Amino acid sequence: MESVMNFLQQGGFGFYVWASFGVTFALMIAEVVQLGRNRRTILARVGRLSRLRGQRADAGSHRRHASESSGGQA
Amino acid sequence: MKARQKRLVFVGLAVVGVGAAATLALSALQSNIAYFFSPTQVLANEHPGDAVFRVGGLVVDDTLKRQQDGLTVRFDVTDNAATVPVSYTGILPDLFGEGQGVVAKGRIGNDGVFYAEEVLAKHDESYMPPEVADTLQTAHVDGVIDATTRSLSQTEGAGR
Amino acid sequence: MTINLFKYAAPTAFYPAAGRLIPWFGGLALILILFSLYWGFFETPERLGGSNPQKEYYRIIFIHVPAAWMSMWLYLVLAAWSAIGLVFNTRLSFMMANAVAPTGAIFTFIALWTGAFWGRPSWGTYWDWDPRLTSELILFFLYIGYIALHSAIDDTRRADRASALLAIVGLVMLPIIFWSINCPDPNQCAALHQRSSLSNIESNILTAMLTMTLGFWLYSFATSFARLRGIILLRESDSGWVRKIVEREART
Repeated sequence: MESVMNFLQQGGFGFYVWASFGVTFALMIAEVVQLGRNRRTILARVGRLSRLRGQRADAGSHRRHASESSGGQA
Repeated sequence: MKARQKRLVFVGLAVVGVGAAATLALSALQSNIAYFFSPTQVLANEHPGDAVFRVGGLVVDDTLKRQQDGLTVRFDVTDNAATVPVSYTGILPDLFGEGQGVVAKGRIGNDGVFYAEEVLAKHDESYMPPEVADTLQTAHVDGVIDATTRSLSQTEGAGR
Repeated sequence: MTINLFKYAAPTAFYPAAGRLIPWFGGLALILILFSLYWGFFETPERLGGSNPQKEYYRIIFIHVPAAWMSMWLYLVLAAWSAIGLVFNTRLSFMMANAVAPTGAIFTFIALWTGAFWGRPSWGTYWDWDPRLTSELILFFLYIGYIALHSAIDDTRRADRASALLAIVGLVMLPIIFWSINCPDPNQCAALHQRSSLSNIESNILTAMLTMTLGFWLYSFATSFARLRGIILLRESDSGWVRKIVEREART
């Protein structure tokens, strides 16, 4: 227990040490969480868009499909 | 010339231009706005006269004295060529000490004493435990003129 | 040769590849960061000596220096992808630049923040207009400016070009940041910040610092690849392959 206290105190400089390490890893974790959320919203949005287009396109051409997948990179 | 080559030349020129600007900015930074002045420069009157500026150097051993009021300290700052006396009222940083690097911000008085409003401690780039550091003798402060480096290399040579 | 390279640089090929790599980069980054934290707190001396007699707070070096290195490295990556995008007109390059910028901004902020909380106990101040500190702050504004400029322009292609130019012009800061403390003649570098040199660092301190750098570096791959995948989906949402991916991922 005492060793844990000593560790947390960092020789009396705990405030500076933990303010640095705490904010650093809080930011890094927040970035990862935000990326996960971001991915879900993008998937939902793109999914909605493609369903809308799909309904319209289903009636028509498979030609359009083929030209898009071959035109990858100019 | 194809469009791609044109763009390559354009971006290349941009990078070269930016590089030139960086070089110019760096040389301007070095000659014009010094972050601090060494005691030699202060004694040679190269500092801005009445304005607030910074003095940097090493605290001379055995010169740190607390005044009667218990708050004001006096110490000498040296670059191993010239010395400026400094007076400061306030809390000193943890790393402040005799023989250590220091940067003081303030004005120089008519009495030739530098009255500091802020005193910051400098340290160098060696990260060694005390027992190793004692044998290394790396004490120096950047911005302190050649004398320090020369005297240091002599002591280091003598040590070996 | 060129054809192969460009084919590989297509979003279609990159999207699944990045997806497979992210867990590896992330996992390795986590291992290295945890190792570095253990080593930094339990295998290093509590105090330093000589002309740098810092106490426990010097341990902030284990994140400050790696974050500062990453802030400069990622800016170089950002400017490089911007330049490649401008020259070759490749969509993926601009997307790469877009994906790297937020991670770079975060590391720059971390470098400034940890520097403040290290400067207070050691130098005696959270902030001072020292050349190194000031130039690093400008780098942070450059990252913010890049992101803001890109989001301010509605047309993606124009946004890509304008922000890429800003990134290239901002390259001017990298040599200034580097030489603000490492100028050839040490007597010219009047700064509060110490010079940077790896030669006089105790080996355990160096171990923790370098593993953290490697960990941050792998972390930056993981986050920018993850962000890049999102950008690819958004920008290519018209194309058939994205539709297939979305359908597949919606099922899982």
